[in-house]
Amino acid sequence: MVNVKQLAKKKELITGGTFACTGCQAIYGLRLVGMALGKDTVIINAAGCMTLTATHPYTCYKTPWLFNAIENAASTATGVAKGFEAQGKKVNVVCYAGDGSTSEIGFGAVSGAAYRNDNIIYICYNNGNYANTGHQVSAETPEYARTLTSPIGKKNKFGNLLPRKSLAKLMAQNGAVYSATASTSYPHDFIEKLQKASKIKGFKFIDLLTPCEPGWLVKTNEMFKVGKMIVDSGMWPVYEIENKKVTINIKPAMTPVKDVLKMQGRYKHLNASMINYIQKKVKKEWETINSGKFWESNDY
Amino acid sequence: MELLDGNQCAAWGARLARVQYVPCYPITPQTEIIETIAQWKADGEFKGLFEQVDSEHSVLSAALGSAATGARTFTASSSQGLLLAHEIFPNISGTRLPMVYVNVSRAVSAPISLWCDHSDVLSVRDFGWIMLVCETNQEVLDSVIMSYKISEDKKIVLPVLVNMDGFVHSFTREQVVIPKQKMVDKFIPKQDLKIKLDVRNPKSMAVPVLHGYMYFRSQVHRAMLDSVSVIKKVHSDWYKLTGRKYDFFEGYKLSGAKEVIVMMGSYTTIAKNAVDQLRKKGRKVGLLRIRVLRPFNEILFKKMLKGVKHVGVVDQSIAPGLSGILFSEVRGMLPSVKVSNYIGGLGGKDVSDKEFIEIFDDLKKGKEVRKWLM
Amino acid sequence: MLSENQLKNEREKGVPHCKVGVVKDMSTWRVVTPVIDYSKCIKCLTCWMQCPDVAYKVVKGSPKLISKNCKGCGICAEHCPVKCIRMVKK
Repeated sequence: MVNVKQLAKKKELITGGTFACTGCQAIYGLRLVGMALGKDTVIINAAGCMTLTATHPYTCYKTPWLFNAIENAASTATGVAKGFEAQGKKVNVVCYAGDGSTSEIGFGAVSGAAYRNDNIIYICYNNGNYANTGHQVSAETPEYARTLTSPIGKKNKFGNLLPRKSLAKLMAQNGAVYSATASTSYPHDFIEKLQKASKIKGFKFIDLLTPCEPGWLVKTNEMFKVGKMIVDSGMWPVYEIENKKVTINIKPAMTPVKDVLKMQGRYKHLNASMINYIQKKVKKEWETINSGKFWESNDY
Repeated sequence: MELLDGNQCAAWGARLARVQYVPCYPITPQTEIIETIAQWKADGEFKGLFEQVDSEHSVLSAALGSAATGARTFTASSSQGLLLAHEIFPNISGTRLPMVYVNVSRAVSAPISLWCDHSDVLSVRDFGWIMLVCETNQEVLDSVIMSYKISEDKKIVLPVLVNMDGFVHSFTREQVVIPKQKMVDKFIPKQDLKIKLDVRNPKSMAVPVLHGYMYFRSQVHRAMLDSVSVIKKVHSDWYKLTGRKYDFFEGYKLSGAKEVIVMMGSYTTIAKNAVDQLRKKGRKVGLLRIRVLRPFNEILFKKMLKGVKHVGVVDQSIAPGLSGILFSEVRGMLPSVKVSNYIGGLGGKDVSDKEFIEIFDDLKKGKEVRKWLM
Repeated sequence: MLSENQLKNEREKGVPHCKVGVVKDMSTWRVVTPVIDYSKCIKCLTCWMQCPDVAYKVVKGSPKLISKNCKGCGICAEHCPVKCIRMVKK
């Protein structure tokens, strides 16, 4: 159980004053990683928004931080984990990479690390686009979301037409001993998952929903709320998979999806039939999960 | 004395250096290096960690990660693998991490060729790595060990690439002396990296810069130039311990030579044979083999070629639209000397001693030429 | 190739040695600033917990704003359970 007052007594692992956008939930996710894992942690980053939080001569990290390139957070972490193992040092090796890096360009490396069961915690901060380069479509962009390479135009009224990869499920099938989804809007659940993962040996994967203010076009003061409403509407199932056994951590209230879609400017173009499509898909997903057929459910 | 091929020599170098982590991926003609280490690991003879990863890009990424923790790291690859890992090369030297990478030279696709030429290794010559190009298997073994001493020197902290030729070195056995473990342990003691991933002294590494990019790049250049004195000392220390002499360049019968071939790699042995044949007939010819390609010791290069009338640079590479790559590098260093360029041995094509003799005859004629040894 | 003097100048001019935890002053990004009414504050620390920019520190169980870290996102005001935080124009 997470006790806020106890957490408040511990030292923060990141400082403020970064270049992250106002209300950014990805940097908040990193703050939660620091709260959960403590100072014996090394963070490996792939190119993305978080890379710029440590730009010489400024760095916000009071913990070792290593950057390599966009597609190799997982393989770099393999080397770091083995390097520490060879020297007999016990350190939490954490990857903090975006959804573009994890689901597309770096997918091979992530799959390789999962298959080898390298002792790392891989956190994909999932904001559903390549945010750092200006919000282009990625393999994690949800259906009908607008991005700058899946824009709305005369010939395309929908935006992105491809359903996203279900990373946590894929990693579980790929050999991860612990694979979970989480949301920065349910910080206690995320912290508990991190603390649990740090006690397991092998490849742990967490797909973390991190709302993105300029990519999703959300009001800055609603950045925390939008994540919570996405989980509560059932659009982002929060679960954990340990050795293929599935536990649903948060049972969603199934609030209407249109309430949270209208908070996000990237869905501004949706008409009633598109919203209906999304609602039906989410409803069907949960019917399938609730009937015990988790592995057959289709993610929104 | 043992009969070992080049790949086994590279593996022995890594084993004697007590490397702590070897990430790898198979590619012809390097595969035997990793198979040798894998077998040693399975038999309990290799004490470090060994892991095959998902691609050469991942290999070099993992090597960067491991080197960043302060563990002694070793890896190897060839042509297409080196090209896939290209992105990480400047990353490692820019982050200032020590490690040794053995490249088994192989021609670059397309068309696909498995045999040796230098187009792969020369593509990384400007990425801030110290580069040693070997002529014999013994040199490969010795170079891997010496490279750790150079790479981990506190003033330098730059990665080192040791090159050998695919098939000619990698799968050909030669008589080799394997240095004693005790001697190597004393020569390269445990690594002590100052800036690394350490929870007691946290640093953010390999990050973007706002201003100061030029400053950091100038530091890499400066470290390369400083490494000249370190390399000199390491060579001389190794000579005292083993009696085997190495230098930036190997001068072969340069005394009084008027026509000299400049080249690097395994084909040098054939060229030396041509020099012997011509010297027997009284011709004043010689050969200069480039061993340390980076840092390029220009002062020594010019000194060794003093008095030479015509230099023939034999390139086992081509920069299409320009010239051979070595030629483009060295011709400007010899303003008062005639310099000709011969492209040969691409894709492992044989160059016979007769062809080298023809090159020397060409050089004697005095006209600067650019020829392909087809 | 930079000379010793040039290198020294570079170091003094604009290439400082990076210090961990040295931060930029983010208060220039703000349009509105959070102000806590401590008479209503129940010290639940939700504002501290949910701040993405570590703009609160806990002093004797009570949240205090670290002004130079706050970008004025307003998440704290939005989620305070007793609504004791106002976002005030600078």
